[in-house]
Amino acid sequence: MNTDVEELLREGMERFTYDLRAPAGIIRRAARQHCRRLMLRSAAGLAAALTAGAVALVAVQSPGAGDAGSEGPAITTAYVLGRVNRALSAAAPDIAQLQVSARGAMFAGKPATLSYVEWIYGDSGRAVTTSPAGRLIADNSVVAASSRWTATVVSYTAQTWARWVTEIPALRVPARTAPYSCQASTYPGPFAQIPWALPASRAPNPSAIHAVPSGPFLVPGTDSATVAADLRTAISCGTLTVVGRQRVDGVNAIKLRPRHSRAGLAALAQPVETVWVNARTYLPVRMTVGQQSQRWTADISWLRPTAGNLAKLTAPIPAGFRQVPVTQVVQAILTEIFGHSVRL
Amino acid sequence: MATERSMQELECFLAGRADHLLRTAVLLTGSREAGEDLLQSAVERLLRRWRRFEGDPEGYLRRTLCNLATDGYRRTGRWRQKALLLRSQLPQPRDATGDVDLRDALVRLLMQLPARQRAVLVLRYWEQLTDAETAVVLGCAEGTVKSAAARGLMRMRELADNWNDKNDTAAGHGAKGKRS
Repeated sequence: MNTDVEELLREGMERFTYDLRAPAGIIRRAARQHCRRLMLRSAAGLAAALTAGAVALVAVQSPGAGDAGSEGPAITTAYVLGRVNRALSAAAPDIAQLQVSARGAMFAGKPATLSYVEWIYGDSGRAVTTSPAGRLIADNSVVAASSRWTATVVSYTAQTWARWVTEIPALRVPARTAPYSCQASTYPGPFAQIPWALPASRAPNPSAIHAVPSGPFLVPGTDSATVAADLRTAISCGTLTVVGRQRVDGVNAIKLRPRHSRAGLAALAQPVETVWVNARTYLPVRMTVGQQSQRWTADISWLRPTAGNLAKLTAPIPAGFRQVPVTQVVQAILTEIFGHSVRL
Repeated sequence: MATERSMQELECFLAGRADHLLRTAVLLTGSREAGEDLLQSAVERLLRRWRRFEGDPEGYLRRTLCNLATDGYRRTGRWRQKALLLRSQLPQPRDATGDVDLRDALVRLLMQLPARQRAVLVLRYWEQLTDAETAVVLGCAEGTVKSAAARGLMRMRELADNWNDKNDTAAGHGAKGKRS
């Protein structure tokens, strides 16, 4: 084998790169970058000469200041990803609010578009799920405090609710045994944490409640703690590249997509398909996962952890709803989602 | 007096060689987007002196790619190194033959080597330069190239030996029956 290592390495390099093609217009891009550097230099020189205006001038022209989408720095993929990484790092203490649309999710035995809103904040989180017709189905939350979770599940169809307290390890989502990685993973859906709050003998098969296509784990109760951390890992997987700009809900956004060779980088599974980041703040504002028929789309907002926003993490109990054992609430929710009776 | 080169000449040259240079850049950096950025930076440097450039532009770009990859360029992307380490820990899908998996594993190991060592292996086994040519590109002594290549290959061989041992063990277990 030793004598073959050099040959195997060479073949490995071939496999890793064989269908890579240089992007069109590389000279134009290099020329633009060169011009920007010259502008930066002349700005810096001028700033040195003008003592009073120096600071302001360099601040306007230097990379990292202002809107990268309009002026100044060369917008290379590495630059954008570096800024996104830093923005996510700064946003780690914020609450991530995700408006999710899961096309191709199974509802009542048929593929449909399920939507839900999630708030995720470290080990705490909440998901409000609506049916394809827009009717409220369920509201479930887990709020972490002093190594315990207070879990609440509300069924809007049965008009029932349950609340219980558990040690955090007991409720952790088993499917998420490791932090988000570049490897493809299955997104457990908004109901993932429910079965593990039940006695083991009554817990349904986890795979039975996977309501959405594969995607990133953005669920509470996970080791990597925050959506920001997961997204940072996602962008660090090394395959995202800047492909252009789009407006997302009125925001000027930079679009990032994986671009990889079939032979080489395809071996590294790519869970995140497309990410749009705000061109001014560099925080992700939208991400999609999956194919045309099965697509998970999340519009992301970042909320400061004020008292008002933290209150969003707990599912409220609507007036007139009955408190029942947790199994009854979960049974009602799962029966509606599966479209047939589910006994726990 | 040297004649001025036209931009068309540069375009023609890149039309023929940019794909290969991108592959070299990707091998030096470990990812496509970093490779593209690296190549773009190298082309930018060539552009600055193109009109009066004398010599082999491919050699110049190759040297610039290596210098940028081994010097300051990597400082701007430390977080990428973490990503590469993460990748190296991923269980990879198995191909039909163990050799195909091993090739991928060797490339992943290549990405973890120190930048200079990696550049040596890329130049020796991808660009197929001699030790002497590699030394000229990297601006170091031939002995330095030889020792860097030997160290890199030693790690590759260790990986290959472990890989074979593992495959042998797995084959032994497989004979007893698969677990679901």
